[in-house]
Amino acid sequence: MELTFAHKQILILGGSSAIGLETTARLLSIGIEPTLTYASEAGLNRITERFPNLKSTRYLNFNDSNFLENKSICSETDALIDLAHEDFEALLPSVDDEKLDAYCAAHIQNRAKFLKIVTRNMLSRRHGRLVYVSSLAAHIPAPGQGLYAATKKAGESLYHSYGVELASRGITSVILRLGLVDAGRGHAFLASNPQAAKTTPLTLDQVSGTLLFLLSNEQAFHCTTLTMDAGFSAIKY
Amino acid sequence: MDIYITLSSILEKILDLNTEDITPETYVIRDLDAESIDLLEIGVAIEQQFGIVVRDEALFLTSLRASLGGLSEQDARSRLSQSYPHLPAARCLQILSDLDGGPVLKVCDLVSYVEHHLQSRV
Repeated sequence: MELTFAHKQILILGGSSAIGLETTARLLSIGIEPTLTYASEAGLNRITERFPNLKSTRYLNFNDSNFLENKSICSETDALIDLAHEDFEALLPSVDDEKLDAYCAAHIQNRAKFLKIVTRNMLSRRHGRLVYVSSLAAHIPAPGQGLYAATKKAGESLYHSYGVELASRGITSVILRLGLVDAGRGHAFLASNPQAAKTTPLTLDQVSGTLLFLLSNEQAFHCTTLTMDAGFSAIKY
Repeated sequence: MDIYITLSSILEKILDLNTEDITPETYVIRDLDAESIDLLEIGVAIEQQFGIVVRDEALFLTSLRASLGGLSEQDARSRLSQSYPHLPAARCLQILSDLDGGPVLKVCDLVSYVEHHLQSRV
């Protein structure tokens, strides 16, 4: 099936992640050059090593109180893939208050503020696509994942609500809830917890291919959460 | 750029109206049936056309009723002028006597907001 795309000004938040880089490779192979964001110099280095000719990268870190200063980052965006989410491992009753405040501010409030800017720009064109990459943790957290899970769930709610509110103006949203991915943080987790893989972990190929499909004209998923976990959450033992 | 003409054109386009349906005294919600999503689009269009930052709550007087609840007339006048510095004093008095009729927002209030923010940039 050949995929076609109405949305070609694609912004990938957390573009320096393994999923972001793989998705970028797929987009470039079909002639679409996305804009990637990175939150650190290491992230920028990962992007430039993989794509030395990529013209469009932007610094965006939700932890940075000035993150909204560069609003032009999304002025032309008509499709957004949101992969930007730091890990947070701690049992909830033990979480340091300051760290809790900062993590929630970054991943809920600042995400909401950023989405406000992106969607107001999309509204002026009555045209846009929002894809939020969530985690199975939002549905079934492991011990120590509580804050990560809560902020992922909040992200799901935000994206769902944006889709509900803006559907009549041509802006759609979908949430892709991923199970274990054998890449990046997932790869490191699997290496130290091989027993966690009840099912075969997802590959980058599968995830990036699915993201491309969700951006394409050949789908009609809107205001819904798709769980892609190779059956992990369906299988008891 | 004539603010009123530009605003009328924005309202015409977003609300699918004719210009003759719009006057400065037209109520945006009561007369033109603008819904929340329409106001959102109008706010975005105003930002882009006039190059100003719009606070939707202030532009559309969204929290006006809640902010005036239980206040005396004098305190209410004072609250209005503090919360909505773009509204002329006479308009504030008009609003206070018009609250029972429904949403008070008029086209002239949008004009006042844009004028106020363009002037504050100078």
